[in-house]
Amino acid sequence: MKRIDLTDLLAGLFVIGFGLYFVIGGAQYRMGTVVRMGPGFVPVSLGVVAIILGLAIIAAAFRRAGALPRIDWRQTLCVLLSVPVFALLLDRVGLIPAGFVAVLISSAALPVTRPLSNVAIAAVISLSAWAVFVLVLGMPISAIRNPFA
Amino acid sequence: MSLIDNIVLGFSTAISPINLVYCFLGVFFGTLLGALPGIGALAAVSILLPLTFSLDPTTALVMLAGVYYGAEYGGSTSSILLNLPGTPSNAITCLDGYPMAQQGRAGVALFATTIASFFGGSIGIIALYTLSPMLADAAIAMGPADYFSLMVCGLVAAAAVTQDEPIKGLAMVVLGLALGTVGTDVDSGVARFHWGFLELRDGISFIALAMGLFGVSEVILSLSSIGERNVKQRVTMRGMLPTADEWRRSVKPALRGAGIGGVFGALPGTGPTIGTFIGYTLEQRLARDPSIFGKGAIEGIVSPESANNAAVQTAFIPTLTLGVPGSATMAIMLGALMMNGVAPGPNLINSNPEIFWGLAASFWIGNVFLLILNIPLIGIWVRLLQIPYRILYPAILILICVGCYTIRSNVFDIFLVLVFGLLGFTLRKMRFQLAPVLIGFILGPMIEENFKRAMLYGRGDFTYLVQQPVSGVFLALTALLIGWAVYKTIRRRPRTARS
Repeated sequence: MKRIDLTDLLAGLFVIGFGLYFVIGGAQYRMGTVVRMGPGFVPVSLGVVAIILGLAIIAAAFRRAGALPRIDWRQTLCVLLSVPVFALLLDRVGLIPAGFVAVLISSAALPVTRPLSNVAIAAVISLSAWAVFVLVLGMPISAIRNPFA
Repeated sequence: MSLIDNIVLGFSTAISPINLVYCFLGVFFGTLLGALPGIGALAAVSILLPLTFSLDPTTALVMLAGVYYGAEYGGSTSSILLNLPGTPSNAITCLDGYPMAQQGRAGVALFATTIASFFGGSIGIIALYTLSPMLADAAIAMGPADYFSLMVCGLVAAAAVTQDEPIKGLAMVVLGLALGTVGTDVDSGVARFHWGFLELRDGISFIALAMGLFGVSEVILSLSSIGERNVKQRVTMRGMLPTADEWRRSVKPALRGAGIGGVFGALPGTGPTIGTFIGYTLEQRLARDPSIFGKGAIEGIVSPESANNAAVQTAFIPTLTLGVPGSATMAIMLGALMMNGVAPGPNLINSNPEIFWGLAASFWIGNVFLLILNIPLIGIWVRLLQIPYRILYPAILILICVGCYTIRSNVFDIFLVLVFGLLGFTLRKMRFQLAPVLIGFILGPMIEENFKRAMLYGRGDFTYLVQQPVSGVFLALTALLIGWAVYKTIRRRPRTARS
């Protein structure tokens, strides 16, 4: 086995990546001097520090072995996907349907053994969200909206 | 004003009906979310943050603080009953709490941790009452250079002290600081890194950042670690009372725990978790028969829980007197204050005495609520742990989405939650700690402002920062911390492969 910790190698590359982003992005703005800092000064300096730290993380990764992290794609995707779906539906069809669909998606992260119970959970959660936020807290969110109106 | 006047002012603020109601709601939901394994105090505070947005600053803080210490109380419930810590700082309570539950003594363990938490919390509150005004008075004399160095020192400590891998902690601080530069630069009016979105010109929404980093990523990670659980224990009031011998054995550990927790809670970067570990280890060392630990020794749950809750209360000391948060949860408290237009810092106690003393008084009230919630009403939480997680997590996700939408009725913030949820998940998979990101994000603008002012005072001379005595000491401390972080990284023994 190679003597390198792949997780830390990845971590170091990530830190260098965001460091580069802030250096390159920040360089488009005026730098100024230390006493009169321009808008680009802080992002570029932070980016440089990040790149140095990233290199240090990679250097440390070569001192031991380690595997890449394992990711459960189904759980990750189902949970993450439910968020933008909710966001996209909220303004178009309203809180209750958007919540219903989002819960159906997120609850598919675990194996679906009884689909009907998932539907029931989705209905209960979306109705309670409406009850809490609109009825109790009085937030101005439409419960149901006709997307074609 | 004398201390008595302040205490009276505090209680008259805290017992107003609205503050009482929100204090109760805070500790109630805190206990609820804290008792659920996988949702820590930090996630609980982030998730409930939007609900406080329409409140006035005192009430908002009373509720958020209640969520925080409520979660720490509730966290021990699942440690004892399920051997799964409800929050990271309850992890050590599993060691002796779960064996007690297996011996059929779960009720005693729950009772003992609640009393220990109440005791530790009370000691922490007394420290808050006595130390804060003194610290605030001392801090008023501090100049911008001193603040700059203090904040940098706090940031580095938060990144380097508790972390297994200090360099990665520092990288996360830098990420937090960099995220803080997104938005319009105050001096030049230039909008930085806005990606063409109007919403990003105001900067990244702090709530979306906290909810994405801690809420969403925590839901994903807890899915893979938590299967279906069940609680077999029946907890009755009668089975909760410890024996006379256990009462006697608990007194000293509770005192020592509160002392240790109180000190570590007030230091930046250390927080409650480290206090619980030290408290437990100390009891083990001091015990006449160390072999009883891990098999259901009452000392092993009393000391860490007392330390935990003392630390939770003393963590408010630097946050409220200096405006320097020692942990990510405290950074959220500070963020909630700033969103309400209250400037944190040493002037807070004098300019807004009702906030400081009202909050301090609400801690007593909240702790009494928690005593009631966790002893006569413990059955509720035991039953709560029987609700399958597959029902709870979609509800938590919806709460996060709707919650951050309601802040400015903008769908954009929900997409930000997605971005930071993905970021938080990726970072955690790469074994990064996320708390430094939030601390950096909150402290970044304050550090920049104080640096600019210090440079004006010192006419652009860097050595001005070192020449100021207070500032010099903090910078020397910072240098020591960085040196230690580098040393620890170099010296670390190769580790065997793990996923």
